[in-house]
Amino acid sequence: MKIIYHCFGGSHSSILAAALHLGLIEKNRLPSMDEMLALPYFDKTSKKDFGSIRFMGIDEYKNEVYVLGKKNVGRRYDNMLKGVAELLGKKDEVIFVDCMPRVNLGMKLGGFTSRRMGWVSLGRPVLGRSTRKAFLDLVNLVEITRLKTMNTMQVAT
Amino acid sequence: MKIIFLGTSGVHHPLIAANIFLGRLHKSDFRFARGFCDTYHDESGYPIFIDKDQDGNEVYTLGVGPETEVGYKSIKNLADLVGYPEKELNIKTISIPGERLVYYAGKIPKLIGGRYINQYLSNYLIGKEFSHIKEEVDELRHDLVQ
Repeated sequence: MKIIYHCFGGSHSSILAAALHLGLIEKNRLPSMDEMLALPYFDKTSKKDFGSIRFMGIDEYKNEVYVLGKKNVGRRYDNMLKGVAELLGKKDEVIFVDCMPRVNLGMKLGGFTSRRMGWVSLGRPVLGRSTRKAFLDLVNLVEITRLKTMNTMQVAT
Repeated sequence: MKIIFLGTSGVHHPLIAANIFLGRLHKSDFRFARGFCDTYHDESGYPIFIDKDQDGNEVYTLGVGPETEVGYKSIKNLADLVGYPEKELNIKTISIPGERLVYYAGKIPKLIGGRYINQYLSNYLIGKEFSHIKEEVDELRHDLVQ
């Protein structure tokens, strides 16, 4: 199964969610900014990455985990991808996870300042603090997703 | 094969392109094309099945909002990811000047005359670009033959 975490830029919340899913970051304590910055793609993406589905790793159940930046397409994007997957006859092979409902205003502002405006030294501290605030919400999202994939696997067997 | 006409909305210019492709529209009087300006069908974001052509190809329209390039790239990536044969999927982006205006006009509430504004603006802008849309469809037909 393929799991695609998506958010606005594919640079912060989706990366953190994918990292949590893959166990690249511990879920039972708040990560430091250095730990987050050590994750692949975290706060490192550019405009050309919008729309690209990027590979993050394979979890212990052999599920492939990906991230995607969808810009400001919103909830429509989830349905668009689900619809296309259905059209291609692969509906049951892919799970799309929208991280945006778990993103707080500080993450949006910090991410915008760091990525879009290019003011990294100004945006990153705001981003770091806000990401730590949203961390447990993201952990919750990942746990729900992991349960969903396990259910799907059980149904398949 | 599946053919997707992609654009800001699935019920405006991509729908007209799909109808031209299916041989249902020859002149720019498209006001009565089935589903034209029916934004209710486009709200969810799911692809809209239009019909099959004479070769059995399934024709769809898909509205991805103002970020058509992002949508195009994601669909291509997704098809690669799930191993869908490249030859079996053809995505044609239909773009016209003022398409964002058409998209946002579709968001105006019906209560304040959104339906009429949407129809009036769409008729005008798409009518003006009808020959361009036809050219895009001809280009796709040419690509399919090759």
